[in-house]
Amino acid sequence: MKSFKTYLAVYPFLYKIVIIIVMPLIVFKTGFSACLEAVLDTYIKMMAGGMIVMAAELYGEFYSMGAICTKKLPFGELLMSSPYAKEFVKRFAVADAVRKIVINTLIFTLPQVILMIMGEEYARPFLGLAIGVTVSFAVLFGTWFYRNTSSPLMFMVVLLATAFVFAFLSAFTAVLYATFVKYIFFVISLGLMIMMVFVSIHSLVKSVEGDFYDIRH
Amino acid sequence: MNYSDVITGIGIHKSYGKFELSIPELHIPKGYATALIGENGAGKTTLLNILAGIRLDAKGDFTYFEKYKGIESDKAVKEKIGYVGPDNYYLPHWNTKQVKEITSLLFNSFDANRFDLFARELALDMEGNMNLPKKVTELSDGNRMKLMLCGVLARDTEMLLLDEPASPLDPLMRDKLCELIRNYMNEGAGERSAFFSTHNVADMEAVTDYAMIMENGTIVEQGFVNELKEKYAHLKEDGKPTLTDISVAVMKEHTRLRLGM
Repeated sequence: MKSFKTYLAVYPFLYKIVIIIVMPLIVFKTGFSACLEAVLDTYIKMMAGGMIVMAAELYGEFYSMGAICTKKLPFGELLMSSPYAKEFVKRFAVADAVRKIVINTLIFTLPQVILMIMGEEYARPFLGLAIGVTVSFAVLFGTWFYRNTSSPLMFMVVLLATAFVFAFLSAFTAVLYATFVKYIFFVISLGLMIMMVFVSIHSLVKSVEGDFYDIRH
Repeated sequence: MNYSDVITGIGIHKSYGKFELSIPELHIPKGYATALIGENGAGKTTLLNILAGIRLDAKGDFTYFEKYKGIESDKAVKEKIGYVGPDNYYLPHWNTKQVKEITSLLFNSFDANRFDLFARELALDMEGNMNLPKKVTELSDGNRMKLMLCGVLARDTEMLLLDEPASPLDPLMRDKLCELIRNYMNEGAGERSAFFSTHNVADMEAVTDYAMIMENGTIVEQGFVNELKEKYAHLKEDGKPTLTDISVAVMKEHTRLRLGM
């Protein structure tokens, strides 16, 4: 609970409204309409949803926490004068990763699960889960990158690179949906996502530790 | 004058680029307000950063509150210190409401009601402005300083470490700042201390009990203000130099010696 409170306190109000409420609702609705049509159409609409999520998440990240892990924009002396600076940042990093994974996985998986329960023929819960996990990985990767660079020019480069990785992994999952190979790509996405959770938390905590020194070790 | 130290530092040393901070002994008296005076680049901010524990790369043995060996030795040390600095104190996108929430998450003794009280006292919350969150980057330097002061004064601390608190404030607010520091010390009944750097020596003299004068990374003169005034009485014909007169004379003399002029 304290982690989530910390998380909510750090991000700006607009970020919270758009990323936690508006964007998930839009993508959630897309998920429902997608399932009422063919599998390929379902996949294309999920891909579009994935792109919306990534664009919104990374745009929000760039303008709220961008460059936070670089020496150019340290965490702030208020934080560093606290005895609980590292705990605060760790709580924030964990809550941030959990929020990104839970919301992004649910908005793709839940509509498919609900429609499957309703007996919809084209419902694809596993595809929703796979795309949700892949989006989560892509968002965590982009987030980590934006926090570690102070160059605005990198925004588009990273967005495109992240979109490419997402499209590659989710396309294989979708194209090979009828085969066993889809599980391999799912496991790859899941592995990458878990790795990025640890990388993003470690990066943030190391960054605040480094801010206590004029020359980083 | 008999006194104990609120912070003792032995063999303080830090070098960064061409700058070198070197203070063989530092004794900040407990229960007094100490002014750290020096020209730009003398090392005042570096020293305050080291003492506040936001820079951990200095050498030296530190004792806080007569029992804690080092700022990181116990979480209680930072809880007892209220630090205010002029640089990247907040993240740029934080607003005044977030500052209050985040300060409460960072310090156990933070009291939101006291924060509101000080916000009103410092005219920061005129007509309920604090209820309309404003980005800290949109605040004037003076209002940002007031916000920082509200944050530290709303906590139960035993020492204030203030880096140039008077600089961004208007004369009226500088007077208010002196009053706040004095009230803070009086409420502590000898257990609270303040250590602040300042260029506005004249404005802050009213609240200064003890002064340290820094030049080129070291402390070149220090003492209780009345003792310094006796020592440097010759600077003025009437035998009553101000702290500004003393600071200027000491800094000039040490700069002259350093440059071999």
